[in-house]
Amino acid sequence: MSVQVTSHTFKQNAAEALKDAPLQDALGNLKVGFIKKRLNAIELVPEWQRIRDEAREMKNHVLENLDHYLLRYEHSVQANGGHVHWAETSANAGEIIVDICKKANAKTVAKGKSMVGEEAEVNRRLEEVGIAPIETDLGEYIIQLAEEPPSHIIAPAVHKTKEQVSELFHKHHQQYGLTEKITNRVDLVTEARTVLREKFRNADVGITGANFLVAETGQHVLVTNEGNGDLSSNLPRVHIVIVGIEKVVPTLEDASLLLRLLARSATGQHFSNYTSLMGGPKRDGDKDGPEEFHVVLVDNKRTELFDSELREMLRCFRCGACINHCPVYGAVGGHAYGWVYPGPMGSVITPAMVGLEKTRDLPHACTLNGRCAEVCPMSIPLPSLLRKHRRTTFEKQLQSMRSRTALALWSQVARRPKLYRNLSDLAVRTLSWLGRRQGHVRRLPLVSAWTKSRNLPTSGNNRTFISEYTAQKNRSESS
Amino acid sequence: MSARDAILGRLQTALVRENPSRPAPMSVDDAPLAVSERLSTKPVSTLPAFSEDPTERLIRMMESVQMTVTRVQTSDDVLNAVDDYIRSEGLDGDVTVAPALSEIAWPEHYRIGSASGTEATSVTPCLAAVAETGSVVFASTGDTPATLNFLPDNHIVVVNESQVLRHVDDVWTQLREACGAHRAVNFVTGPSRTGDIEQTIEIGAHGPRRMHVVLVSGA
Repeated sequence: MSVQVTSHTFKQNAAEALKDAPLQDALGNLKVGFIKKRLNAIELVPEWQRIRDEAREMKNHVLENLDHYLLRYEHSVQANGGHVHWAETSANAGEIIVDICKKANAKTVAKGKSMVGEEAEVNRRLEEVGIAPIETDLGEYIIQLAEEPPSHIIAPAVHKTKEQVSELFHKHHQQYGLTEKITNRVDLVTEARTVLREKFRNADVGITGANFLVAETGQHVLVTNEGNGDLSSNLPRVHIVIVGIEKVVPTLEDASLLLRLLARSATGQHFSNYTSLMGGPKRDGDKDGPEEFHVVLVDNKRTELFDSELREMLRCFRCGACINHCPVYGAVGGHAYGWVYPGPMGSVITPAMVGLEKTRDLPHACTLNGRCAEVCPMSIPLPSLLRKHRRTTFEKQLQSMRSRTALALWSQVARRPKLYRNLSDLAVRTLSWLGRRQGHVRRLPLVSAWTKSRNLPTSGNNRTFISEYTAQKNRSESS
Repeated sequence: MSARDAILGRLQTALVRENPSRPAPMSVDDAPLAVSERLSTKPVSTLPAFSEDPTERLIRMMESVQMTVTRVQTSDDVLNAVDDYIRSEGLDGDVTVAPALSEIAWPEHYRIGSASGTEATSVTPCLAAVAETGSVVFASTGDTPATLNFLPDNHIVVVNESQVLRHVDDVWTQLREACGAHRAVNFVTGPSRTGDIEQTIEIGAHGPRRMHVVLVSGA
């Protein structure tokens, strides 16, 4: 599925998402699913905070020496008999992959879920040269059939209901002689298993992502619950790993440090079903495994993020906890964000990768409630990173004329305390007069976006906070 | 300039600007002290503590992710335990045994080798089992092909109690002592599952639907 950037129409996307009934049903599952399971899993680990702190320190050390750890990883992969490719842009990464597939005379490719693969639009590029990519993660497979981009980084089809999946399978599985329409979940999973098993068997190349790269051993860590990543890595003749340069860690011990945080933060499991270390092609005497092994290390603006005040974002290991806990994501889902990465982490990464000009609404799609930073296992201060984007948006004059004028006016007033007090005093009196009968205002010019869906409560006593505060202070001093 | 040099160059430009005394070599041999030290000392981070007996915890953790466990006294009991399980669960179809277990006198219709893709059940040894996570760990070799862990519907694993380790990090020590980088090291923690349809967990996505452990006490 090609990923067109539609972040510039975020407001419109969000408005449509709010009216989408099946989407709203599907988003309801997030709360009972991810959020509660994560909490239960963390409660069983009293050392959680200490592990989190150590993970942050370790990753900061890696970032301070990222050049060296990448060199070491490259060296170790080569020692295992693998090939390392470097891609400056997502387009370069796509070209490298197409090239390897062409050289391998590939007809079909089995793909494990990879968000970097989405950045590079690997599927579109393969299809353009007549190679068929098959997504093998069930969620990715569902959205590939639906010709949609993923709406969540670890649960790509979280926006789909069972009924929608049933329709999709019924439509697309006829060609395999599976003509009966099935509706229950177990049967849907079994049918996908049957169809995809054949695809695995026939795939010439397997493409997967990686959760971590271990510099010490040249292996990468890949976690899945379905086992599709392992089948994609073990069965085809050629295995390609596509991964961002920030995923490297020094040693196996550092990988296990992050693994303790990853599954618990992502799905509330203490460990993912399949946690695999892989590296290099088949060894002497091995009966299975790929004959060729390639890693594509992707920059795609990561070095720009590195050399900016957003560097901390490179600690992110894509668990999705911030997304699951974001009230904005919970209301509008992932597609509204308009590119590969949704939610808080997406609102930081997307502007950096595709440009703030096209994504200026994303840093504002946030209530600054701080839950994302609270749950982030890598302690990334997401709200302050979003505020940095907001500042840049203002400095580069990317907002609409109307909000710029409003903000400029506001700053003029806010910098003059006396004027500010007089005006707010006037505003409070006017509001209380307007709401004198019902205690609230139903319609107000200029803020219709607020009053359209709720009433604006008004103060009953004609006083601003400051005058109330001063009055109380005077009272307590005189008593 | 190659993409490699451009990427590493951009990282180094930023790092040298922050710390002008930082060397910026392009060779793996010139790593700063902090890097070479971390790579050689391999510091272990905080491990989740537990007071439970490791074997008991292993079994409890395995059962919590829908694995089943049978305990037997000696390695002579493995054959019967495997056969009993296959019969009692009514597992039809072929059985493939990893070459590493070929010294056991398996029934004649059991095949020894790597996965053919058509067998219903595989029987394999493991490298270790981890009490922390309830995982069995497999390291791929010619005698323990990785595909046996993923293709069959049912996977029976023989675990010797002496292979039970406390934490994931103990596996790293063991791997380094063994022979370095295997092509694949798989931690498997329960039968294959997916939550991709409405966030509800279903067993049997792509890998085995059943995982059964025969735990040998005296070994």
